[in-house]
Amino acid sequence: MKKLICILCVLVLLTGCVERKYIERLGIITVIGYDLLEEGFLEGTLIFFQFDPNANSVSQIITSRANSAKGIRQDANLKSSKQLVSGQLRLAVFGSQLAEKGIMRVTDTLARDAAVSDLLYMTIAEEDAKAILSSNKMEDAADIGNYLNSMIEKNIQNEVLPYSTLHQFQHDYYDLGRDPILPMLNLEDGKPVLRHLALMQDDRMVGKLPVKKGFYLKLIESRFEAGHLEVGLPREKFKPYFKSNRNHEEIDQMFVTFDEIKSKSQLVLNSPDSLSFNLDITLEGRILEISDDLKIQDPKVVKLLEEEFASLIEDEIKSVVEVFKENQVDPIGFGQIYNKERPLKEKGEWRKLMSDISVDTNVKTRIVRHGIIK
Amino acid sequence: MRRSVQKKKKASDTFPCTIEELKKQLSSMLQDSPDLNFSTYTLGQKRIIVFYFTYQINKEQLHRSILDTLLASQDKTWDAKMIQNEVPLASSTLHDTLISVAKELIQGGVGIYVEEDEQPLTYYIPEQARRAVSRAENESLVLGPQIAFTESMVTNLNIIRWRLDTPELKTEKLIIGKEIPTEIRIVYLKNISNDDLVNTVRQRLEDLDVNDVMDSNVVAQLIEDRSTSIFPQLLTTELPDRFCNSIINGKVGIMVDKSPTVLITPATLFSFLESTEDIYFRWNIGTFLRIMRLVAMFLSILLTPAYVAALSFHVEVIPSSLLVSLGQSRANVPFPPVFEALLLELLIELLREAGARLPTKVGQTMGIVGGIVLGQAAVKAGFTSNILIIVVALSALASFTAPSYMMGGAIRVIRFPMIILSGLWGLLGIFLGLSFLIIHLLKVSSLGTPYLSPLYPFHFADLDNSIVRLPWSRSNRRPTVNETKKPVKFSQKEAKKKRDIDE
Amino acid sequence: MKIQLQVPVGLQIKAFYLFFLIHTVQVGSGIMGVSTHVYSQAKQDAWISIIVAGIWMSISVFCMSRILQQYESADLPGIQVDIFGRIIGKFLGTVAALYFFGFMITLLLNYIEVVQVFLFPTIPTWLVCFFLLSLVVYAVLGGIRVIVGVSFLFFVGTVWLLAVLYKPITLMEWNHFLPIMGTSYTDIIKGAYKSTYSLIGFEALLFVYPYVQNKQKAHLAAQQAVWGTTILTLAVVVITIGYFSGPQLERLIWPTLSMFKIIQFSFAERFDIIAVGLWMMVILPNMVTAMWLCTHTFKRIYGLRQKQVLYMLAALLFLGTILFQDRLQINYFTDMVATLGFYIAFVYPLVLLPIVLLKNYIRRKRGTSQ
Repeated sequence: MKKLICILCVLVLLTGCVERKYIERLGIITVIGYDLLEEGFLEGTLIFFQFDPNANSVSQIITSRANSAKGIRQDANLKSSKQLVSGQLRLAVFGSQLAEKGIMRVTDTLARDAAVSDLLYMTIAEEDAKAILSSNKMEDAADIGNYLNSMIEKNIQNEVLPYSTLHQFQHDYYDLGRDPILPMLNLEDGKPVLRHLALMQDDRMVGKLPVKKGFYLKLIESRFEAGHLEVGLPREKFKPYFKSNRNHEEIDQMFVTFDEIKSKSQLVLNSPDSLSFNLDITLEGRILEISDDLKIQDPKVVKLLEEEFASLIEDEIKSVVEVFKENQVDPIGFGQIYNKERPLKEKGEWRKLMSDISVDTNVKTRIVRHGIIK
Repeated sequence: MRRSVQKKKKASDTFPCTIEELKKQLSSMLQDSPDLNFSTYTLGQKRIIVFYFTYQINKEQLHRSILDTLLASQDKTWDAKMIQNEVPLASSTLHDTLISVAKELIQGGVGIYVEEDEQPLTYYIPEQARRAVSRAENESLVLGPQIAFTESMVTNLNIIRWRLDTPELKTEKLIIGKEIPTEIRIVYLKNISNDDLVNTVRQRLEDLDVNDVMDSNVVAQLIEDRSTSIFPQLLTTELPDRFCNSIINGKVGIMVDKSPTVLITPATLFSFLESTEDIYFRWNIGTFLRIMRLVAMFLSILLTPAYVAALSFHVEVIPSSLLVSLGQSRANVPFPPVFEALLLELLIELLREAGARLPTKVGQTMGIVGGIVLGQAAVKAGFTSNILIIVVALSALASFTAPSYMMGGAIRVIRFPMIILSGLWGLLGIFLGLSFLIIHLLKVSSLGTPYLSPLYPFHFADLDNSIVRLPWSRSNRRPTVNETKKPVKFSQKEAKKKRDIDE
Repeated sequence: MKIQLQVPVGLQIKAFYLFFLIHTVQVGSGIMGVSTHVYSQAKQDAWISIIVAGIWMSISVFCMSRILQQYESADLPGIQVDIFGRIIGKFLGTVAALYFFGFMITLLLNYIEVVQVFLFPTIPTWLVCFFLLSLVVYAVLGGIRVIVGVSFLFFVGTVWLLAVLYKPITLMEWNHFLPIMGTSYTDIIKGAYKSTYSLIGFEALLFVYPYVQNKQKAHLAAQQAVWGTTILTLAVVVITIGYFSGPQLERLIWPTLSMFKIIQFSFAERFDIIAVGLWMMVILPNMVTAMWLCTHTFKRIYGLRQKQVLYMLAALLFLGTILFQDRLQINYFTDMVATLGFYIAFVYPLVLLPIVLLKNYIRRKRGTSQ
């Protein structure tokens, strides 16, 4: 018996080895970019860490071509001395051409691979993914991947960008009555910046929305904990309350910046037949900056500010919803609410109804504080 | 009549005899020891011989009590009974055989024989080499009594009687060892300790069939339940306060002559992580210290394996902020992480072992040389990554926080198979090892008491004084695992009325 | 074979531990994928299905304890022999033992597959199997005391995984549960049926009952255990349905483990990897208890030495497990065991109780008439 156990143990030790992945022999992919080439080929751009005692930079970039996402990895492996692994993948960038055709082709591979994190950020490049990943303007960040990743992460935390992880994308993609929305990366003077949000019909990009309008998207969809907004209000209405005239007469708008915005929204379907929705938003904020010298301690002024602010938000929401209707996309999830009343059978069903919806918006705003001076 | 005939027959092997005969026989029996001293006196009509090992007896007592009495009057004719009556010493024995006389001499007796008498007489006046009671060296404390046990059973018993001065204290005497007998005492409080437990201890000790006993640690290994286990199953301590505290709580102590450490049983895993200092500290600090030691034990076992597993198999798990620094520090190292970790762990073990073997003054230098110089050099030479040095140092440090040196040793040894497992099968290996360890600990018992108590079998009240420590006013129960006769130390005060503010 | 099983006091366990024993034998490989199975039938009302299953389970446990109360200290093999006679009784007992054997195979297969998908794609099946089985054999050799200890300690050691789920909870969408009762009753019942694989195991009560020290509390402990499992499963189902969108959930094989993918700590970026490793400690009490039940039943019925049965079964399990090759076979076999388990745990006690009562009634009648 004892001998048998010994023999078994030795056998296990001898034969039971598993594939080892020593960190110094790996190329650890952190960012991956996909572009669609003319012939249907995929071009992948991989940024990865590799650790060599003599290397100047730990970050490397490789471009490779293949028919499939896995093929790209295999092709890239032929171009590197390290074994490429995707366990630390943080960011995926899809070229606009690919995005217009549909990104599920590659996203499915990412989702299927248990090594890939669900917290991977998904973005779409306004041009080529390769161009963005090849950019070398990245402030003081260690490498471009790090820079892009922290830029997106920070903006999601600041509630500027929608939460756009791989999980969220899949969630919205599969959900009935809802479409994903992803941030877009653009190059300005060779530096990657965030300017637009990509409106997706399922996995295809069909339109863009400026990042600033993303505020209203979030306002409708969920709640703010500490939002931030800069608006231009019509200057004429506030004229009587100016304390002094330090103002620039040539501009007909008064710019007000709100921050620490807290909001709550309630979206209800009035009747499933008429497709009319009712949207109530209550919003609290603090004035951080006013371009004019306003008698802010006057309750009337505050009241007026609140009213103007509310009507401006109502208008903006209307325009955002119009954009959605035009593009037949639903990143807010009107369809989900419809689904509660009349269960949808498939995604296409809501897409047809989407253009007929009407939203009645009521916004209530409240200004809580206006800085430390009157 | 028949009885006296028998007695005579038995004694007649040697006695009565002449002094020369006795001398010859005794010398040959004691291997012609040059230290055996014979002095012959002629008193009255008879010759008297006094014999002893020169270094085994107290000369002061010999001269003052025995020789002074004997030589006071030259005309008296002595016999054994008379000597017993007149010499002012209590520890006299009459012997029938020469061998028992020899045994007594070895242990520190003085033999007196009146020529042609029936029986020789011995007085037990030993002088043993013993050191003075000193400070505890191995289980050092900041707070509390600093006194430690010594090698002398008499001194140790003296200390214990001093601390536990109650008539209920029972110190049962047993002799074990066939060739070289050693005295063993079972110490417990009659009115508190569980009888079954005492019987088990006594049974185990009586059943021992050994030639000799080196030390109390050997006794512990001889009577423990599971000799294949790596975990110590009896608590050894050199601190009288710890020993007495355990006994008051219903445990049973075992003292072994010639050994400066005593045994406490039953011991549980958590009792090895307790120090009396936790009791001397305030309860909240004591609780913190205990939990810290528990965490340290886990860290010590898991930290290095986790490093090995993450760097050899699970790159995904490494936080992105650490990834680059870990990767770069590994890039220089020519060995796989397992080997690297084993190397460094071995280095630390060697340092510890060398430090323990060397004299204190040199040992300190060793520690500095090993810790600073070797560590630096190893990193510079690209032998190990500097992050691993931190990891290994942390886990080594954590293993030293175990108040029991035995348990610290067990923890340090467990690390090696764990590192190998993690090097072979990553996280799976770690959890395999951990599961095995837990199942093993479940199987271990200390003289029938489950080793993992009070965690399993779960006794909520026993968590006090094992994992946490409650304020003294609330900690009024003896541990239920000990199944004491008096489970409650004192009744909970009823003056716990909830008072309102300013009442 | 004796109908009553007298257990020496030293081997008896408190009813308090029965909770852990039953709870841990239930929670194991089933809970990794329970949401997908239930959702495929009951859609957004899957949580109702779980509650239905819980109530059913509770009724079944009630029947079990009533059956056991008819005897002083008997277990299922003994009762069956008493009711159905020696031959049929032994046959039924053997079926139960074989069912535990099959249950262990499904546990092994499912966990090994998870390990292969999440941790090591290339690790050989036999190796993981060998690891688990050697631990199981080592634990079962320690007897009932160690087995109960394993289930208690491993429960304590893994229950904190629930707390880690706070992150998915913050990302839940309550829309996914609407409209409530949108699916038909039959679908909800079907969903409840689908959830049974993750709930079976509480039939252990019928086997360990003689070992319980304070038998009057056994029923309560068993009820607590099954409700504990129900609440746990309910929590998992609710969180997964809220966290994943419906069609997304249907595509997942192990939604519970997938949920761990978004949990990260500053010291460990990917918690799912650790969770899969830790899942070994969730599976082990399952396997250990099932192994003990299986070997103990064989010992009871045929009077074999439990040690020998243990070694033999371990070898058979090892061989049985490496025979399975792909996901389809595993699914088929799991379904089979789940069906058998459903009948043994959910249906059989309800059928057995009237028979036992009737038999006892007749016996009592005869006793008084004579």
